[in-house]
Amino acid sequence: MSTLQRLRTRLDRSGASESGLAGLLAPPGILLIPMSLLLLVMFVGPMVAIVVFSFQTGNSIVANPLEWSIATYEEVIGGMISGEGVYGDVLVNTVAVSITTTALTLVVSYPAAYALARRIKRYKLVFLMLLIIPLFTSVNIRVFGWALFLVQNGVLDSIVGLFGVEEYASLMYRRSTIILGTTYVYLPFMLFPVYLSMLSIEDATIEAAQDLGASNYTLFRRILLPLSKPGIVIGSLFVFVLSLGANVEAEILGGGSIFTIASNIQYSFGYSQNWPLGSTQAVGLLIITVVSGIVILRTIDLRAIAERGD
Amino acid sequence: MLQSTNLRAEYGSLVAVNDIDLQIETGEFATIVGPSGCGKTTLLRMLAGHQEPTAGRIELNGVDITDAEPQNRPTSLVFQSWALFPHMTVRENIEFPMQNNGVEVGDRVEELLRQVRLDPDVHADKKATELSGGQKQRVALARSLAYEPDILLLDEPLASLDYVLRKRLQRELADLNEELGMTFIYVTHSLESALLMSDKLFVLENGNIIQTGSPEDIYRAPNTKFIAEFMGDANAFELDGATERDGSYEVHAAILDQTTTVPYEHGRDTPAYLVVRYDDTTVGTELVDDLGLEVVIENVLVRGNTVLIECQPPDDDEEYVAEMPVDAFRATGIEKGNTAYLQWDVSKSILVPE
Repeated sequence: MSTLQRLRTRLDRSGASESGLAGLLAPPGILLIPMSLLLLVMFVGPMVAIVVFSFQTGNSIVANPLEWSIATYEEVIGGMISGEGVYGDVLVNTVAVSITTTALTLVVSYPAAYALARRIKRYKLVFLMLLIIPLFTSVNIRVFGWALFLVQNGVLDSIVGLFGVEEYASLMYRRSTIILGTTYVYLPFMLFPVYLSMLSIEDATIEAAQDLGASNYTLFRRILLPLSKPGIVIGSLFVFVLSLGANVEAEILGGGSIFTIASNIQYSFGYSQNWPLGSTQAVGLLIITVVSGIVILRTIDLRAIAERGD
Repeated sequence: MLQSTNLRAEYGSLVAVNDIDLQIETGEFATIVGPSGCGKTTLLRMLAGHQEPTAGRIELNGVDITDAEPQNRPTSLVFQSWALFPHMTVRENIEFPMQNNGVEVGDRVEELLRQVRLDPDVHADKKATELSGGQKQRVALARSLAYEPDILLLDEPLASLDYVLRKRLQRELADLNEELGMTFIYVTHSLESALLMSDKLFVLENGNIIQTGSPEDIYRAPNTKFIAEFMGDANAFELDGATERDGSYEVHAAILDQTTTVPYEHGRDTPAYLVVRYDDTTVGTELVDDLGLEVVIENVLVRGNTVLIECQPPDDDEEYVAEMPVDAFRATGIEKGNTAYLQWDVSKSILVPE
């Protein structure tokens, strides 16, 4: 076979494999197969199971294909609307925790990201490591640390006791304490996207703005903010979605008196053994997450960001 | 007039700019030229206020601006990367300095775009990222001119453009300088830019200004062998004897095996090299010119309408080059490997100190 013929056969083959199953089994499609299988088993499967269970009748832990019901939906949605039961409070708690956490992490991260990306040259690695190392520790351990600090007769008590303060309102089991926990735990998820987007702004761009007479405020509003917006949006998405699902923080720092959707789901599955009720709330959380994710992402032009590298 | 006195920049133990005194008249097109790492960009950044000098003063029309923030200096820097704001349109980019400096926008954007030869109807509302390199360059220029700074600083903004475009923009920059009467300070490592556009040249080497003058003066009477070679590809012959005689110097170079008299300005350091530019040098089968030496032709490179002839004396490692019109070289019948004479007119010889 001549070289030209071989080349032609190869071109024919690559043209033919563009569609159908053959295309999936040839590179680059084949490279995605392990990932697809994993997602199918670990994500899509359980999701389907959750949706199926949410339409089952009360207190069953085995799906019964003959009995379907929307009773749990009536209970949850009805409760949210009428204000009866815990569901309204749970929803408010969850959204309040997520929005406040997102805002707080942003306010704390933005100046730090600016400093780390643009100003601090020395010890920068040390700072970044200090921010990353907490991620190596389990969330449970970190949150329990907080609990030990704040709980009655805990570390905080002994400290304020030294100053003669005996009676003060407990800081545990409040919504603000949960927010403190989520803010602390999810801070890196805001900091790093913002840091990276700051890092991608060229020095010359900032110098050019200064050169063209921009005050520090103009520099922030018209150059830094718009150019770091993708990082802010991605960071907000991470923190908001993670806070929506925050369970450990709510359970430990909320201590059973403040519930979020996530901790209530766990309560339904665990303590009350009501799988359909838990599943319904899980579906609700999923819908809230997806909708808010879409809303957040729509504020930026993802395609423009993807093309910026060109 | 822009003036710097003992301007100095140090990075740790490295002296990037060594006590430089500059004087640039209003409206002048001044070029700071030198090889990479000579300190020219540092010097420009100090003039723009983006870098704090270690020592020294910068004065503009008698006012000390050494410590002025870039925002408050009447200087505008055109960056090598152009630094257009990627999230803004061309119009927004150009309006930015006007808004910051309280300049009435009106029709200025259109006017400026026309000044840099861009069609406002086509380009004004494009995103900065949608432009080609040459267009970005023009927009960066328009943006810098927008609030009418006293001094335009240019940091090799043409370096990344292709040859034809670069040539055209060089000419346009020179025209603009004349048209606006604005002081332009251009930094480059490229000799052709320096020669083509400037009224005044500052040659920088290792943080020091080693020569100042018009391009013509520096080309004709370079101060050092480095400048002579930098100002145009040239062969240099080390002298082993130089005696002053009636305003000229009688010099002797071992490899030329000949004593000759070359004009040389009185009062400068004793000449150490005889330099002759490639394009003043020819090769021939016979020695017909005033000066020359026997060489073996090593290589012949065609460079458009001229050829570069690389050659070596038979008992020497040094390589010399002649540049001749293609036809003239072909007429000699010389080929690679032949022995010939590298030669030039004595009046083309330039003497330079060490």
